[in-house]
Amino acid sequence: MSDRGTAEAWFANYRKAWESNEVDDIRSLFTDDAVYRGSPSTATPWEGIDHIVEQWLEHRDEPGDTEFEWKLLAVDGDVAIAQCVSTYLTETPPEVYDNLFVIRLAPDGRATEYTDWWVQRKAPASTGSDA
Amino acid sequence: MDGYRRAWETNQDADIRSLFLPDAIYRGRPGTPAWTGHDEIVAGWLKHADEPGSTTFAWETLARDGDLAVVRCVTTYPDGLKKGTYDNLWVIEFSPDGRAAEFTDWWIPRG
Repeated sequence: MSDRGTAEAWFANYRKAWESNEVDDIRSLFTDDAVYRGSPSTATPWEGIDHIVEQWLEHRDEPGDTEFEWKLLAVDGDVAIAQCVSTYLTETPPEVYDNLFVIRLAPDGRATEYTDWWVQRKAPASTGSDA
Repeated sequence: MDGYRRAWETNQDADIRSLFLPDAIYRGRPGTPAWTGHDEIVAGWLKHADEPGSTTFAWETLARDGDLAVVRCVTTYPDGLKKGTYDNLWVIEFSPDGRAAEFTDWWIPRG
């Protein structure tokens, strides 16, 4: 069982690690045998804490590259789901993604699984020249 | 979920309406304008209707938390414009009578 507080802390710490890229911050999120999926049916999940750290750093965003909003959506047993909006300020215009982060939590509050369900937001339709 | 699948296959007005509150919000993907209310939902549903037998569908409940359910689905279109397999998370907010107040389909094509 996970409680909401544990899940809230996990997502807050995820964002912290996203911004810091500190190895200790990343490691503290995952169990040794955790599986990290960048999309639900990825053919190349990151498996194991060493692989996760290595790939995380390879794909790192720098502090300030992204804006991020999230709210805890559901907690049920060891599953926790956060609904997020990620904005990449590195793109022009900025790219906006809706995300569901789905995690499974071990009793110690680290994740055994993480999956990012991301959907890129379509650019708003042009308002045209009728103004 | 069984009712949703029935309506998906029948595309019958009454089957669709029975799934949603009269003022329900339906999003075919996150971050896009929703269909609001029975009439918009039925019109949108029928506009995007799949023919009976054109899909295979498997699902399991991933999480229940209060009024909210998150359902993990896999949808396959063997043929046609949407041909392929899709991973879905359906986020459903239920009313006490079992109808949906809000529905969002998070769908991601495989491969």
